[in-house]
Amino acid sequence: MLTLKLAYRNILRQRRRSLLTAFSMAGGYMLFVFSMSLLEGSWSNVVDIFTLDHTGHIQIHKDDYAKRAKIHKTIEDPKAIESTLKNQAAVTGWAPRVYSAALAYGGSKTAPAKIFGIDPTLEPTVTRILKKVSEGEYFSSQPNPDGYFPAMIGRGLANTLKLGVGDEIVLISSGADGSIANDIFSITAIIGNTTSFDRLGVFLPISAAQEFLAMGGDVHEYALLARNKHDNEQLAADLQKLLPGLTVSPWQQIEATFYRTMQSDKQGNYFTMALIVFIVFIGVLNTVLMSVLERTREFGVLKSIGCRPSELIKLIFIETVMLASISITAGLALILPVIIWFTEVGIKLDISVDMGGVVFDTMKGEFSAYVIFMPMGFMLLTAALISLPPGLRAARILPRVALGSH
Amino acid sequence: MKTVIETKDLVRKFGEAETQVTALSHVSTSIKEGEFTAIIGPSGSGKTTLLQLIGGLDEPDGGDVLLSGTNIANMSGKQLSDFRRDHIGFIFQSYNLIPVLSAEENIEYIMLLQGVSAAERKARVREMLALVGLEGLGDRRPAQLSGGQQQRVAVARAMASKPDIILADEPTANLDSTTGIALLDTMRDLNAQLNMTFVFSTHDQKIMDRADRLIHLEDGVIQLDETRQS
Amino acid sequence: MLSLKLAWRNLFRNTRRTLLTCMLVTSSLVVIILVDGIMLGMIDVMVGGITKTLEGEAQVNRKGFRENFEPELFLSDPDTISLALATDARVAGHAPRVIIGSMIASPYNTTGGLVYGVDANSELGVSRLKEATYEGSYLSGVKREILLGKLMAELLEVSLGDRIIITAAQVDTSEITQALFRVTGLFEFGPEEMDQSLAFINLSAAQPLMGMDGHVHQIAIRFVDPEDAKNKSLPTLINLNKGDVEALGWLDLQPSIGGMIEMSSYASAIVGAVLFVLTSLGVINSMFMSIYERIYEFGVAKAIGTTPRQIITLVLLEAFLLALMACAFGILIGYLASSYFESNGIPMGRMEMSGVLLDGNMYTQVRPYQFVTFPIYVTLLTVAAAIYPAIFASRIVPSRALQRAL
Repeated sequence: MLTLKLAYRNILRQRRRSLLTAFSMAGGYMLFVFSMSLLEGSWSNVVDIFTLDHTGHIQIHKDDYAKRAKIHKTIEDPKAIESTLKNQAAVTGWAPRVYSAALAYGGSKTAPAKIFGIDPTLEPTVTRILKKVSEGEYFSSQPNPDGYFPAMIGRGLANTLKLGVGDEIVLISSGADGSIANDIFSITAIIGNTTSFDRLGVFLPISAAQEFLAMGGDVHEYALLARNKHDNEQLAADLQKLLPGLTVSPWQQIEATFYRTMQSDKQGNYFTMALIVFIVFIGVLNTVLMSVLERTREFGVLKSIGCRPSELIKLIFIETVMLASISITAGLALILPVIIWFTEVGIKLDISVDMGGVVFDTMKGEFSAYVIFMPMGFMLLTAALISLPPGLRAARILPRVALGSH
Repeated sequence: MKTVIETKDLVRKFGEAETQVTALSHVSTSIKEGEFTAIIGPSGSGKTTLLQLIGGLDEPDGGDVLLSGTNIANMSGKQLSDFRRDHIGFIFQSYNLIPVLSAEENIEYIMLLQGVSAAERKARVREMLALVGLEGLGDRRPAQLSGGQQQRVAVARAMASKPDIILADEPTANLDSTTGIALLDTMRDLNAQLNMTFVFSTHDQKIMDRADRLIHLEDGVIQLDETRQS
Repeated sequence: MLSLKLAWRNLFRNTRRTLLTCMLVTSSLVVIILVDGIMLGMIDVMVGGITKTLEGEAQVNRKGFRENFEPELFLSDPDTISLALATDARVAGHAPRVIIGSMIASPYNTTGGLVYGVDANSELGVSRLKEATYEGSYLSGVKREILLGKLMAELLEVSLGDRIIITAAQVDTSEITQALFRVTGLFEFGPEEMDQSLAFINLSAAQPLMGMDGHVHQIAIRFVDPEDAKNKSLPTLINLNKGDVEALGWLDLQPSIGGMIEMSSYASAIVGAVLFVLTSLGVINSMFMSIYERIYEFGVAKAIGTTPRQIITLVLLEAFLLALMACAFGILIGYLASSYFESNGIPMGRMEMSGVLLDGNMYTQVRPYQFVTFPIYVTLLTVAAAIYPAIFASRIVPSRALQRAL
């Protein structure tokens, strides 16, 4: 189209000026994309870490168990729920859990511990528990020859009580019926390391935990894995409708503090990037205004021969957006390899950082449509807007004045 | 013959209070289809102002301008713009053309504004270039054409939109006398062939000699309106 | 000086362009000032959050205690240490603590947590416990008094006056002991972890409970000058670091905060660098535009004998004056904005990082160097950016320039 040709050639009229302007837009875009990639990637990485470590994408509880855990707030009809879950294609794994606080004894020492009752077969379909076994063997639900049920304990607890694989551990807690729960378990494995979430935990087969705590067949929690982790909030809402008597929460609610922290951090970045783009476009405005002013006479002639004001606005608009598009594309070409490297490889931090209760030790990028196209869209929109004042100026030129008389 | 341009009692003033200048004072005239008219007078006489008012590039302080019977005084910006596009052709002393477009593209541009189809545009461009004697030079940019050639392209462009009238403000002022005369002759031929109405301003005697009709302006008033044999 | 006058007037030949360029430079300066202010504010909150809330600026512990809080790893001779600290002029306060991992039970629920046995008076000089107590009263020597965190109290469903039973094991005999307390106060530090898992009793009640008469687990320290805490060669700490005792400043106690601060500094440095580059591009562009407009004049100037050096000087002078003007505005706006945010804070949403709560507002910090060093950098940068255009101007060939009448 002639108009496009015209716009393109107008950009080329002042090569150096267009080039400098293009560099600044490309630079702004690259910074924007890079910071988004870094941020989205790092947070995504952290989210994966804890959702696959213990939280799952969605959790089901009775009432407000998630906030106020009480041993009595149980899910009473696990069979019914499990059949509902089996029919959900969007749920790829689900695991029942039972929790309690307890006092643990090993030899002559005691320590506070958290009991995690898990289903040995179902738990690995949601979390990475199998990978976390650092010593010994993953357990089953069967008692050992001496009649003691197996337990897997966290590294922190193992160190404090000086217990290892093969040793016995005594747990004391209070049961759901108010009685004292008191039993011996045989350690088959050590889980994780001293900084894990479950370092002071004792994993028991869920059936053994239910018996220990006199809970019958009840369960405190289901953790679910979603087929599409980005849609987990929608899935949670859908599941909630199917399970009206229970509370279905996506991880964003379970780890609300973390989620808020993440959102705030991202917002902080958006704000900073918006400022950078603003600064870039002051420069672009300068350039476009200058290029319009230089062509005052030309625009006067154009208007004389019948060019509508809107046509001139359109021309300036196309010129500006075209230059922005070219700059952004060049910026994209330059930053793409960096983003890809970051996403695949990333940088390991020297020191891990605790964000809202979750530990964070690698900076990884994210390579996604959002990261690439959101900054692009924002900058193109800004370019379009910034072209309006000069465009309007061109449109309002009085032919008489432009042509230079009086 | 149809009256294509009519001005009634045109007044145009510039400036404020003590520095106010009356560029045109009660100028009334009419021009018929096919005329080849020159507006002449010393600089500052109001020639450019008159042409600009006729062409709708400026608004009069008093009086009316009727083009082919249409009063352009009441037209809105867009209407006026479209009217100029379809009914009036303009040629200026210099800087007529868009520097980044070739001669062909410059001529094509006006037709693009009119919404003419691509095929017809191409055809008419060739026709126009031939009319002004510039076949083969269509792909050159203004910077690669001589002054005279640039003005011819301007003429071609003005004609391409099939206007009722063509207005030219000192079209030969930047050209040497031979080239200027050649340009005028081209315009004359077009006037003769196509019955295109031309109104141009000049203060060059040799140019004036080629006009059918001379409107003498001085101090914003028509001093003399003579029709000549040519 | 004629050149100065000339440079100044040249700037205003195209006021709009000069103002836009000025806005560019001013915005960059303001952004740098604000970002620095935010960083300082954030560091202050993070560091203060850790050191002033509970942990103190330094701690004396038995080696290995901090890993699992094993109760047997207590300081055997706290009195000597306390004496050393009491007589050290750099120490503003020190507080001994007994820290017990135990089961905390109310008539309605049971949970696990850390019970701190503290000396009410000494705590005042080291932690924020008293300020954090929002209901009831701070420890006052009443028998069986206990302070609970807000979230723990909710979990245990207790309020002032209710009974709490602490179950723990004695360090020497490993015998389980229980003691009854009554809730006399509720505190809220902010970070969830703290408010849901901590309780405070008097040191005099904790020691017998644990069979630890005369011993403590930890002595927390606050210095007169907070910077001392970062000084690894501080005699106060070095002298205490003998045998199985370790004395560490907060950087060693909470390396993740240090890691976070470093990460944020990198991020700001990168943003700052990119900002500088983008601003330079804008300035270069602007200077070129202003030179092109005057190319005829430059041609004339050279033709009549102006030396290249004089032209360079003129252009650089224009850039310098522009920078001064921009920095003047930048300092003013930056100061106003930063001061406003210093008092009112920037709304940032609620974030919890490394156990510190950043709630709602981020307060910037205003410092003299921000208004001296930064403007100097920006001015130098602006003038440096003008070098390329200045050299171009000095090389204009008069004959060609004189052809180009605009």
